[in-house]
Amino acid sequence: MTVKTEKPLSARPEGEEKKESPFKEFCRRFFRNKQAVIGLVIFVMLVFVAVFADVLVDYDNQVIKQDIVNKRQPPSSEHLMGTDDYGRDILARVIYGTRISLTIGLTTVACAMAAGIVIGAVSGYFGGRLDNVIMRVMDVFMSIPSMLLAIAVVASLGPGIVNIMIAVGLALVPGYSRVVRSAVLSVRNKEFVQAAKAVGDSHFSIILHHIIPNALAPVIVQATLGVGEVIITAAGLSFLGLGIAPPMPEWGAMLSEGREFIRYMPHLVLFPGLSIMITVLALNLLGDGLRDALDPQMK
Amino acid sequence: MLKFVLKRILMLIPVILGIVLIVFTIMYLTPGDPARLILGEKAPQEQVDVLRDQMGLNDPFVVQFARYVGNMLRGDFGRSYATNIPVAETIAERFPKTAELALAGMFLSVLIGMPIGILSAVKRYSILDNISMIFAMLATAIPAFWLGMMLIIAFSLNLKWFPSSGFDTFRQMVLPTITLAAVNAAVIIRMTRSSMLEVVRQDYIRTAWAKGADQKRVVLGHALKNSIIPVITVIGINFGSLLGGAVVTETVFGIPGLGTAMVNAIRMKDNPLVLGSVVYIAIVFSLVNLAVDIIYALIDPRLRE
Repeated sequence: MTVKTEKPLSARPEGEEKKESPFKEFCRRFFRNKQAVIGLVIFVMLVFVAVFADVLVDYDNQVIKQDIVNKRQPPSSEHLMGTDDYGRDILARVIYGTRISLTIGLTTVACAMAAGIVIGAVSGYFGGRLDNVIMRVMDVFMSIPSMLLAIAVVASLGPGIVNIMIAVGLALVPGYSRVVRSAVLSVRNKEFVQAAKAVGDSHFSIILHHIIPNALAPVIVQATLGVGEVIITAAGLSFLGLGIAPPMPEWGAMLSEGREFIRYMPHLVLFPGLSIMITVLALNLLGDGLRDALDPQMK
Repeated sequence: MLKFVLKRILMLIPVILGIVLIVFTIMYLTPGDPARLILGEKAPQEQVDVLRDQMGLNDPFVVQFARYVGNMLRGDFGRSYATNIPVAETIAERFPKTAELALAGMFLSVLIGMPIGILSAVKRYSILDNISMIFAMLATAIPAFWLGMMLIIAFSLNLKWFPSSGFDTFRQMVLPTITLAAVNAAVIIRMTRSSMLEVVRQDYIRTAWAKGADQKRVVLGHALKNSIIPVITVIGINFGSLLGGAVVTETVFGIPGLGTAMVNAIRMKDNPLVLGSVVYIAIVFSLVNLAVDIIYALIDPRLRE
């Protein structure tokens, strides 16, 4: 995440004359914030687990394969988080679930952010009637509760990992477009944009090279906070049985499976839920930290 | 004031049409033939064709949409594919439970959120402030449905204080309401706190202190009054996520509201019920926001333009 934030800051032309580069200043502020650093550390660890999930656990033999003899075991030294109704090791499934949930969260937000940037930049840059129409459409999208919009999309397209991402991502686009649009409006009439116009740059080039890099900071903050939201909503859909179907070890799907057994085996629902909580907490801490470091006045 | 209200109501019409258009389009894109779905795999093609014609499925999209809106205005949301019961009947039967749950959740979250938010701002950086900020952080990270299950394990299976399902008696309402309210309370705490902190810096607060008003008067009379608008906005906007959250909470606690009806409808591929429910809840949400806008204008005359 920190790599991405470099762009808008280093691209800010007035910053280059200052003593300390904006990026250094940003880092100094960010790393002084304990909560933000904790969030970053947890997030990096989760990414590590997600990337090396294949190395850490054997998908075919531990995550998916049923082992009825060892079913419904409480947490023990052999199975730290116990086993589920099919004898599958919960820890292995939770580890693999990290990959699924983070993939869903990051991909969905990246796509929604890309769409939001394009829509918001076009809307804010050209203004006028086009802006008006686009923003009214976004208003309508925002007036449908996001969970219900997601439910309608899943009802139409059916369950599955890609469909969940479309369902949850669609609701995010209007928010991102608005943020980008207002950021674009604030830089649209700056000298460097006028200079680019005077030199004869095309609209496309101005938007891509001058407007977007300077309007990216607020949307990155919102995106970081959005990843957590997506993970929760996607897990919610899977929990309702509308998202990712078993045997895939998505956390929400695991909670849905474990729900039948909460009377006898609370560990089935304890660990996947804790994983969601820790992940979302880390992302929120990171997002808040980024926000405070990028714009100390916003706190 | 009346002009403002009328203007807001007129502005609502295109929004509602837009909502219906979006949800209708999404559902229209469902692959498969509804007539085939109703008659079953084995029905002869001619029969399916007749039904398609009867249901108007062969008409162009615009005609189908216009017909849906026309019927909707007369309170007709079509019939369920699965049971043939009018969707409006199911909504009328199921929605009150969902609304009760959402309202109870909103009530509890305001009841918890506003006082804690105010105290947090007044006693900034105190132990109470820290605890409430930690609570707010945790509550936004916990998925509501998981919180619901944890509450069931703790208070219903182990301590046996509250039942784990239903939403009729007060005891049944406790756990679902807490489940739904937690996230929202966190948002309200944060919003109230930051809004209060913003206002406390203003000159008129300093004036109030200077002229010797006591703390109660400054906080409740001056600061709260002026910091409440953003909080009301959040309450209005979050009513939507509360209605959405109610869908999930209903499933956790087996509450027979519109949410559980919708989830079942999706499993049965019963599109009219899904479409009708989503549209209905979205319209209710728009009306809530209309009410919020009017409340604003009542509180703050500047917003009447």
